[in-house]
Amino acid sequence: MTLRLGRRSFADTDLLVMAIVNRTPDSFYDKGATFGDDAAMARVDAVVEQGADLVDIGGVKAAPGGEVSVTEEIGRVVPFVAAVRQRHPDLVISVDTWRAEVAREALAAGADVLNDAWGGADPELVDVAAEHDAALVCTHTGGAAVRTRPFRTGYESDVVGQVVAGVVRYAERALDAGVAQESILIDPAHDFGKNTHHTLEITRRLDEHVATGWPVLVSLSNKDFVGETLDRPVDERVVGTLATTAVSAWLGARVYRVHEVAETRQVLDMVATMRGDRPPTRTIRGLA
Amino acid sequence: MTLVAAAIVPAAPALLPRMGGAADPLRPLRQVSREAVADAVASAPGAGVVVVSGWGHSDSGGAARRPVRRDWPLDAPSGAERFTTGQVPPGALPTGLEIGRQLLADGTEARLVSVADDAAPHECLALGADLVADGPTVLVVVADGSAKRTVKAPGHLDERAEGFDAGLSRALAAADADALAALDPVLADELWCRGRAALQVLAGAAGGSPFAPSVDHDEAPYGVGYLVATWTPPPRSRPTTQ
Repeated sequence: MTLRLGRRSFADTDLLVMAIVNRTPDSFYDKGATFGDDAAMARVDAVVEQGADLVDIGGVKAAPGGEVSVTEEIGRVVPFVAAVRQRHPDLVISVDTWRAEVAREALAAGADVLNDAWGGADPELVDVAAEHDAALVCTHTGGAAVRTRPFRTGYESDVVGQVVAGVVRYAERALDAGVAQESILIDPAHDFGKNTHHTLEITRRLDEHVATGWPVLVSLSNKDFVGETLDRPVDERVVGTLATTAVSAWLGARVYRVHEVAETRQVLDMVATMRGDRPPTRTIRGLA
Repeated sequence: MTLVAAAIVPAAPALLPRMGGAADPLRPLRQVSREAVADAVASAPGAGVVVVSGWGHSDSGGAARRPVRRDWPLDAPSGAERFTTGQVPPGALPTGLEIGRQLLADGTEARLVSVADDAAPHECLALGADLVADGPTVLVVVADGSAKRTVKAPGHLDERAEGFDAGLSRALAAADADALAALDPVLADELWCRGRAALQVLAGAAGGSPFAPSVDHDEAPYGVGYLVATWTPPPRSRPTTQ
């Protein structure tokens, strides 16, 4: 299915890099590196240069931490969305928020995509997406409360089946609310409401998400399931992340939310070429 | 002898569409080659066009033993898959003929003739004479020089390769059929010059006819000698338009 993210459409075979741009003082990986306006804009410029197809701007870290009010989140995100829109008129801008009030302001400022990492915690978010003809990322959290960590979370029946059913249910709710069919993505939400075993099961069976027909977004970057799988601290997870990226691409995921844009672009180009969806760049060995 | 014009173009598989990847590194060479073929054909209105190239071990087309001469239909299936999936249909063209076919302008009628890579010089010369026996003919010769021009070349560096290719270039620049006829097949083999047989077909077709020769390209960017040349009718023999 052709994927439309606001102002741009993408072919079925395109693999898209969504660059994370945190407007937070405390996110787990970059630890506030782009909290300031100038640093954040420099990050946007850099990731565009490195081949990012879209940026994902977030004002609240996912993990538990200091309370961020709606007003504070809007202040962190919305003026910056407007500035990015002005500087990069054709760039697809996603906003990482679960709050309908924040989403409404961000879309009015020029955002194209709502990345709801918390699985529809705010029921009005789908309506805001529909009102603005925005794209929506429908994630699965297994009912986890916003900004909580899993604690002895168990699934009493097939975890993949439940996650697929959950994201499809959310996607259909978005469709019913008026979000365009070609602008709805699903995301199993690695580690959200899931321990490492759960996430690995989802990762190895990602094709079951792809088989729903909804385009699949994966957010793998430097997460704890990589860290626990390889026993690596947060700053040593890039290799594991890229390995997971390659397998996810092979299994059919379309969009990759990442910290490392250039490395991810290379991995995705490599996999797309192995799949036969992209020509090699330059082939002359044995053919000269 | 009724060879009226000839174009000599390289036989690199990367000249085939999509073979070089998105960057298509031989695009400029393909363009120069296409122009050479067009110039040769245009210089001899009404002449029949024959594409000739070697038929080598790397594209046996299913034949256990390659005849000195084989004629191929102009619509024979492509053999390009031999360089990708290996799923080559029966009767697929040798690569050189396929390159020659795609360099022809759309709708150009042509005969496609392969010569065995290992044909003896006298067999090549006789084949060349035979190809032009029926009337005015333009030959498109798909052939290149040594593949041992540099350390990074497919066949690694052979110090003799540069001189060998320089000799080819001089022969083409002077339309010197005798020099082509005298190419040593053993040395050519040692230098991985797969174009020797086809160039000797050209020599046999040319006989002693005069031509206005031109070498348009003479490089070895990947260690293989690529020559693009045309032999067109000398000015005095061209039809006047007055």
